[in-house]
Amino acid sequence: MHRFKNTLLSTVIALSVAAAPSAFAHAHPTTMAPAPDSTGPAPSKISITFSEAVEPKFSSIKLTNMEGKSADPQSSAAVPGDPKTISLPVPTLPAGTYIVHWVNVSVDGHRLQGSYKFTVR
Amino acid sequence: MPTLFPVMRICAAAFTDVAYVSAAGALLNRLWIGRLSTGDKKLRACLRTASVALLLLLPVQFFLLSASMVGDTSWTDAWQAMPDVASTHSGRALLISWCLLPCLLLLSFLFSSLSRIKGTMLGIGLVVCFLAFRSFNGHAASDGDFTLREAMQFLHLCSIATWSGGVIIAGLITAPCLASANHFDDLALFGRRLSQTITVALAIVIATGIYNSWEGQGGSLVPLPHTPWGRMLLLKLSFVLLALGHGARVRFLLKAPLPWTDRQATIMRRWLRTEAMLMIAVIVCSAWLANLPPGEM
Repeated sequence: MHRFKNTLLSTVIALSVAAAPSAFAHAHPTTMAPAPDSTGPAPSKISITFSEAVEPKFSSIKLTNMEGKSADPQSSAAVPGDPKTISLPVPTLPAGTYIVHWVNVSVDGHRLQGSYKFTVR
Repeated sequence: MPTLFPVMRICAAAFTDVAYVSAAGALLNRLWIGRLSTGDKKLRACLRTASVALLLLLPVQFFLLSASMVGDTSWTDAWQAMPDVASTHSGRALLISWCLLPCLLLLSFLFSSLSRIKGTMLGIGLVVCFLAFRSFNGHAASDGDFTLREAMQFLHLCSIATWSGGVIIAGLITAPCLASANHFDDLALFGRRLSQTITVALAIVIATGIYNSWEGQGGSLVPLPHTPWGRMLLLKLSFVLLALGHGARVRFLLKAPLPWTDRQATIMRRWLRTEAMLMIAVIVCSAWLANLPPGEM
């Protein structure tokens, strides 16, 4: 009886793990330069690396100031040879706080977006 | 109207999954029936219906993929982004898998003129190719193509199609046909072939499912019993366990020696039908879970 219970419990645990689809499957940012909430010199580019490969046509970075006005007229692009990273070249930024808005679509078609702040001294 | 997109996505995924497992199930059932021709017409009609359904559903899924990529903003945005979606990894995989479907549809018409084994194996080959491209279309593709993750996803889809498709078509088409034609012993032999194959398929489903879940959740299993998403997962698990329980009962019944009586055949038919319904419920729950991340429910 004890053995049966153990077998049943093992089966239920195995099935509950096997039954969970990968619903958490999104490309989350793993490395951001400049880092969120950081203060430092003006960066020459903004670069974000995600946890998995992203679709370049549907993934982008935009930079705005605190008033929501665009601080960079250029477009972001995928980094050649690195399908997980997109970057945005930026002009010399005056001192102030900026917001990085990012959107990505992972290769399985899932979309994720977010934003973070950094400050230029 | 864009708020309809998530609901449409779940419905399209559920119907697509039921259609492709039914196509696989129709072909496998035909293989398990053996030399009998009972149920041939219905199995061919099932394959044809599943092929037509997939031919219609995959473009809908393509449109919904486009909507998802532009952020479910509007129908127009989704429509306009479709050419760009065709150049993405998921879009390409979806389009290539769609191109295989006319061949499957054609095969469902030619079945009678092909020899049983050749035609069935050709059909199974097409479904396997279709599933290969489907495995390129999911999260498993995030590390690139032809990786271990994609291979495991491919095995997972094939074993799911064998298990659920085999049971659904056996419960709704083959078993009723054999029982009503009084082929009780053939029903028993069919059931034994079904049971043997499904035991292997189930072992692969569990092994690859554990691997996929582990990889998909970054190597840590987040307990979600208190969220609606987690409750849906528990509901799916309940259906899976009920289906397994029914499967065990059917397997126990199949141990009875031949010849079989009308009563045994009737019980077998009823249990398989119940198991088929449970498998459909499992597929619908899976489509729901796979298309909505926990935070969106």
